[in-house]
Amino acid sequence: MNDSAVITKAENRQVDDSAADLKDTHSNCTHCSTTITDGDKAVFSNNGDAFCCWGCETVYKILKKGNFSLINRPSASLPEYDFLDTDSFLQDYSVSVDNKKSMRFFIEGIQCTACLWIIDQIPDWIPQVENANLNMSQNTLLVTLKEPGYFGKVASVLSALGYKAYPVKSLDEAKHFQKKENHQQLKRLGVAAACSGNIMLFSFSIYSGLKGQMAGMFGYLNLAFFLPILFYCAQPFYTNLWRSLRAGRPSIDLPIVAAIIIGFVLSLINLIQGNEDFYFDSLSILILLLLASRYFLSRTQQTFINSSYMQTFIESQVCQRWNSESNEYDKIPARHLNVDDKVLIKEGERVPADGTVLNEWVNINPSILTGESLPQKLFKDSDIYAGTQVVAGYAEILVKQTTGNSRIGQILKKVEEQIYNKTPLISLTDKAAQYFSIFILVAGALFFSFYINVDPTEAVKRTLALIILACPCALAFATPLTQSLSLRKAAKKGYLIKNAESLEKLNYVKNIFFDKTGTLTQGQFEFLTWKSPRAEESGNFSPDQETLDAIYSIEVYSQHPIARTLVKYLEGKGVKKLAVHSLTEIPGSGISGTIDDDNYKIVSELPDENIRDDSDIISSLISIYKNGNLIASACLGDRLHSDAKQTIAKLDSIGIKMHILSGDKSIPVSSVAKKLRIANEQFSSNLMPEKKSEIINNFPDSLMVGDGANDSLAMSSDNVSIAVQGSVESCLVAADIYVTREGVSPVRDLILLSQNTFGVIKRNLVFSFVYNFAGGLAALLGYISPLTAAILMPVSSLVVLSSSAIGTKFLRRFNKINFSLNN
Amino acid sequence: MSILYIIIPITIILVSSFVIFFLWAVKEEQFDDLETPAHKMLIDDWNDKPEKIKI
Repeated sequence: MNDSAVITKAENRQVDDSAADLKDTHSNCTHCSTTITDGDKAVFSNNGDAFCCWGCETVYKILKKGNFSLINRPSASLPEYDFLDTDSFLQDYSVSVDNKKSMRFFIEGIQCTACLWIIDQIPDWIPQVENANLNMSQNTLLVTLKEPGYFGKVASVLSALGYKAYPVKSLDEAKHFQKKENHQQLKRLGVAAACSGNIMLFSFSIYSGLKGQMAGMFGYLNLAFFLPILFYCAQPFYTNLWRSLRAGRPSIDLPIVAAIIIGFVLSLINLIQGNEDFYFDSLSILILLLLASRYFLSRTQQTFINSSYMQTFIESQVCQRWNSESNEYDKIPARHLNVDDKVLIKEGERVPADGTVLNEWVNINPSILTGESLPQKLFKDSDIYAGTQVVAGYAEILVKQTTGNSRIGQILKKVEEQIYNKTPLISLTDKAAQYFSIFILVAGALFFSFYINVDPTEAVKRTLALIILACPCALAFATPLTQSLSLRKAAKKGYLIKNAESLEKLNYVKNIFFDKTGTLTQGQFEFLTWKSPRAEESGNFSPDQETLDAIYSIEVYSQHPIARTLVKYLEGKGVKKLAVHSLTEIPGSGISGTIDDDNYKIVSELPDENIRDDSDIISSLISIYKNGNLIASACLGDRLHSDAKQTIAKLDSIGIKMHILSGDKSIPVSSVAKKLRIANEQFSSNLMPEKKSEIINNFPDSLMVGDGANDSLAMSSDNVSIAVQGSVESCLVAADIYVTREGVSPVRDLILLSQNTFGVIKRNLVFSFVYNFAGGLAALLGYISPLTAAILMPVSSLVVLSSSAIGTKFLRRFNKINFSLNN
Repeated sequence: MSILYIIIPITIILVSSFVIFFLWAVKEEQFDDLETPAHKMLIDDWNDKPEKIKI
């Protein structure tokens, strides 16, 4: 760390021919900048840099080499990110500051100071970058460019460094508004703290027995300090109350505002009359605590991801359209495509619009629509959908639906609509407050109408005391505090929860819907194991070197994705390429060839369902025949996450029903279900995104866990949803919770966290009601003097505060135990 | 006790100046990111970066 920082001090100098000149020109070490006193002892590298010692030279070389390899990694200029620099994308995502373009990224995987350091080096590697400003509390990076056109480069460098970068939409107004709102909250909090602190000081002397003129003056000082609190700091409560009353649902703000206003009026009357019964101190502390807890909650909620709603990335892509006049392909943005255009899509590119295939065949990866692990072969005249990726060959398509109207375009549009129309959850606290405030008001009214005949002045006094004391204010700030402590805990473990509401929704979950590919499994198609033709010879079977060489030599000619997976695996095994003749492609994805008079035939077959393997999902079986005899089989497929089985079993044991919703074919899905012991009626295969969303809407209180664009529609429904690590952008935006840790065990952790949090909240609720009920009763009977009330209110607050703190602390220990069990 | 008549105005002036200072700090966005500056401190030569290596 230290050394690497020192390197920035280094100077680069021109190569000089003679060593003598070098000794003269270099007086400082290139690496550590110390003055080189003895020129003869200095070390000179090949390109003329001077060093004070070999140590510096070596470290400098390593570091510089390191930098080189980072910048020159092939992935550092991925075409995948080129869309970031297209005009249509920049229009929505970039911000102009002083005529310079900036873009904000959400970065996955920020951990510590080293991340900050390495990201800070980006301007050194890409000279066109003005600066890269990382915000570690939000995991966002603001990149400013000196000249346009390098956002794609930045994103690919970030990806080469191992961070996943999602561009965040620059909703200038919304962003600005949010920032202003945050500042406003903080200002209110600061003013409330300063004023209530002083009120406490002045009140203290009144409680200690100050009398007479001085006491009156202190009373007016209290009033003077209370006015900013009443008219400035407490404003959010008034607006919240107004909003909730207009929606016809009294929230927790009702008793709070009632207590504030009644308490203020009562204190004012007492002050004018010369009495010393003030509530200024209790009220100001109450408002301060409420503001503080709400501020912390809003700071912990990861709302910034909400503002980053997606733009269909396909729309901003550049594609090649056939121009019949010039007889060549023109490069145009996908959004300018029309129906009946002819478009060429090369290998690795995404299909920009729905259409039909015009050339003989093409292999596509349809995962955006199905989440399916295996590439699909499409022939002439078959339908091809926007968003799918060409993995082998090329595609020439006739556009039938433009990008915006394409299937995936429609889905993304609907996701966006649904996110904004989610029905809000009426939280437990609000429900309780609703009943409680009605109860208190009724009780107050009854008491007043009864007692007014006995003693009118006492009746007014006691009823007001009841309303002030019975306000479940302790609850009003204990709940947000507990929630924000839990959210913080979750964020530390890498679970970003967008709002506290989602945490509460998790508590009620009864059904969990998992996506298969990429969620329960790792989502990569890979070589798993060899299988012997003889059943008894299972275990560590592997074909001999000769066979491996033969397979490699033949498969290397095949373009099929399965063959490529196999070739990639074999390349790591040190195979030789042999001469092959009479290569023939067998219809139905197979290939045959002859090597040294031996005929080899390699065909892919459907796996039989009886394969006993506890960890892997075999979705394809490759059989190798030598001269007509089966000599070996290779299993290819997708691996289950190592924690999937355990997690499912544990969730099952707490009475939650598991379901799998997959776009994949039924054999791999049922084999996953079997391995996870999920009953037959609880998984469905061959599902299209629309269908997934339809199914989940039939189950109230459900949770969707997924990773792909095909899950995003289901995720944006009213149910709570979790996006797992490595999710696509649309999914990240649609989901309520985003997990940056691998595997599915976070689902269980989150549910436990939610249950524990609500355990604590319920406990506070019960305590608060009992306390307030008893307090209210005492007030009605006339036992509560203003002094007692002033002491009782903070005491109840302290109790719930410590209850929340202890509750969530216990939670931490609890989670730690679970965590260690999991790993 | 008459000292209070001097102390209290001083208190009020102090309080308001602190509040104003706080409001200024909020406006200057000093509370927007509480985490990164703590880390930045640990990195050598943060502000006075000399010439960078050219690659």
